[in-house]
Amino acid sequence: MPLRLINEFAAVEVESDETGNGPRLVIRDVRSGRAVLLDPLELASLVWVRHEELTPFLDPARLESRTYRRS
Amino acid sequence: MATMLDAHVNYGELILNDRISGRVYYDQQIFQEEIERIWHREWVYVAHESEVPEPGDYLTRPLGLQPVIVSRDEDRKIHLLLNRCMHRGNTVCQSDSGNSHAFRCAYHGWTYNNRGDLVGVPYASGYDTSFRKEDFALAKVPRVASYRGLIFASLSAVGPTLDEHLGEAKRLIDQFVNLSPDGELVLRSGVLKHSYKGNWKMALENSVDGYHPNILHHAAMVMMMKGKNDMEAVFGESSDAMARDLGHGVEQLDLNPIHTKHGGRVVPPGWSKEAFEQYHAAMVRGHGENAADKIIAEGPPHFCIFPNIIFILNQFRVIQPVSVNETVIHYYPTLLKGAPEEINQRRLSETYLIHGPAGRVAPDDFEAYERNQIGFQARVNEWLVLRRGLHRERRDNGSTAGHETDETTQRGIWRHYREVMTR
Repeated sequence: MPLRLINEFAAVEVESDETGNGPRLVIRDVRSGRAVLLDPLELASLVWVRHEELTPFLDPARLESRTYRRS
Repeated sequence: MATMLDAHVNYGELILNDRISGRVYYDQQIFQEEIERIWHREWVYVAHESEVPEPGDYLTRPLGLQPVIVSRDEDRKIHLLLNRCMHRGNTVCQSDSGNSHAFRCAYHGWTYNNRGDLVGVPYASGYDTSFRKEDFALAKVPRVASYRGLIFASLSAVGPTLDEHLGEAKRLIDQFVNLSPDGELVLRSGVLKHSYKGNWKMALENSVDGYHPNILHHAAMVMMMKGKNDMEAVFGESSDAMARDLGHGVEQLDLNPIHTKHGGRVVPPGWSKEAFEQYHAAMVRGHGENAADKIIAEGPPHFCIFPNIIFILNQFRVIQPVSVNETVIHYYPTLLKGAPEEINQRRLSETYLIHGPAGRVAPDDFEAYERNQIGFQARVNEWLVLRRGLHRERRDNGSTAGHETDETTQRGIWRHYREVMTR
């Protein structure tokens, strides 16, 4: 069962994935259906991130081609 | 031509030292002027820092009638932002509280970080090169300051500092907060919200009215005193307690003369001896023996700070005006950081037993406020009489003081109100 995290701005599902040769974490955006798989080294590197470094990912303009324009 | 409202309200004629006109409770124009001159200009209590303990935590609150967001950024700094998208004016946050480092407006997707900076907008090619994100940050509340974890804000860029505004209240806030062995309050236990069909000022005045408890709350007093026959000694004519006007709208029912009668080591009612001993030891560690005994003996001070925060027993009461005849009161139980669990549980249960929807005290007050608002419709003689104890009022210890059942505190509120409204 995936773990669901929901607030007033977003809903995501999080679970581990074993389909590759090694374990990964899946993060699925419930609204767009899009998912990202992150390996342990990527996740370990994320612990050094500052929230302001994630700002570019939060810019809705960046998501246009993937979400808003999705047919 | 139809009758028009007076262009000018003469507050000096409506508010005299020994009486006030009922018009101040129902007049729409006066309410609008209060919003401008008090709620959107003076220092107003907004929230407690412990309500946003983690980076990313946020609250939505009204400041007067304006919606604001209280957020804590990843560097732990607290921001007060107007909850109004810079695009079309929607509120960007809807929840009472949550955790997010960014806020996305649900209407057109404009997205802000929790410092209020505009991060981006959808379909950005629709804006030309003169569109600069930095011109569209969420508006900030002009002045924000804290004292002992209490966050106050002013929508005016100029005016007295929070320090000047609080004045003598700082000493009373210290007395309230120092009941925690660690010197910190924790407001993480939710809130009771009561709305009533009446004017906001009734709740403020009532909070420091020592004349009504034995009468309006008679049943509750009998129950709480458990037949010990000392009702008169606390809220009656033989009480040693005092009503004090400390200036600036800081009003106190000074119960110290009663509390300190029995010294600092008396187990408060309802506490187990073990819990009290643990608490006393923690207080001695936190404050030193002499200070700990004094703080415990005095107990929580009972006072209000104009216009919207009241300290009674274990809680903060926060007044929120909605309209001239509608108000919401928020009761926040406060926990004492470093105190034994049993004592904090006791503080919580006291809040809901006394001030819950079926509590022993609060429902009486709400009934009284609504009867007031109906009574104000009778306008042949509009005066309310506030002369009780005027003949025996005196200066004492830097305050104007009267007997606890005197209307010294109400007169203090109205003097301050008149000063603010005619400034």
